[in-house]
Amino acid sequence: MNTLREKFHVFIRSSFQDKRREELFEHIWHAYGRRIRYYIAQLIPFRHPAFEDVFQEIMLKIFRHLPDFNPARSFKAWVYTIVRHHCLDFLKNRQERLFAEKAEAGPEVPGTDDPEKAVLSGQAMARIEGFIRTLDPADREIAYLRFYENLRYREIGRILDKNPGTLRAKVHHWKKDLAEELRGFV
Amino acid sequence: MKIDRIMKQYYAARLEEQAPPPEIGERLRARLAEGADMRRSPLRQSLAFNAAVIAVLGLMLWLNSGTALSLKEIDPDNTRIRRVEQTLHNGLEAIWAAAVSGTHPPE
Repeated sequence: MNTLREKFHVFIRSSFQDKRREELFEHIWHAYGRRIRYYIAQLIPFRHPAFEDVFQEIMLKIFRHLPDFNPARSFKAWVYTIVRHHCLDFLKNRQERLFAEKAEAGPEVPGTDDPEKAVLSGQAMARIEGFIRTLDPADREIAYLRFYENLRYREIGRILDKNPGTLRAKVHHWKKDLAEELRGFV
Repeated sequence: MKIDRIMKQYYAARLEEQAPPPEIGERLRARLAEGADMRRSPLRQSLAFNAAVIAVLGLMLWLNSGTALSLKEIDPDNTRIRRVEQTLHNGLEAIWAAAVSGTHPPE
């Protein structure tokens, strides 16, 4: 589902269709379940005893606040704003520090004949992993929101309460570093 | 550009390991079935949205008002425009009926 269609789907369903809310839940669960968990893991360690509770609370919070979603904004950005605020509140209430440990090692990506995917196998994957580990938690969020979610700098800035120009400069700098790091693979 | 694609693939691989536990999904579905976690959208939000749509359509009509002149040549007795009008009317009726049926219980 493309971004525009998705935001109107969510808006219309949450505005009028009480009976169709299960459908809306299924969409959010399937389209965002993994992504939300990954994003939480950038802030709260995956092995934290309360990780699953936080995930569950966030899913409920998203669903509960669907009627407040403004379709003039990006749905993705709205979801990640809720996730981030919930995680920060959780850490604040428990007086825990932001997850500042090094990122956990990622899965091994099997080799493939597809040249596009082949770059991700073996050494290249390890190098990207190494690069991500050098970033602090806030920067890991930026990298994920920009590279995977392809959010605009303005939207990322709104989620993280940062200046879009600074974010743009950071990502530009990382791309140069990554190109250097992956020289020979790209 | 290539770096963007590679990074996207990297994250896609990382996301593969983040499948949510099915039991949480079941728990949430059961809770939602009780109807405890959904509020109705505030009316003003729907109204604001509808007003914005009408404003955009009005602006488009205003910007394209010059086409009315050529319509006289294409459709001198207004039969085609009436057909378009009827189709639009039927469509809006259907949307309204769907919206109303979702908002109020059937009588």
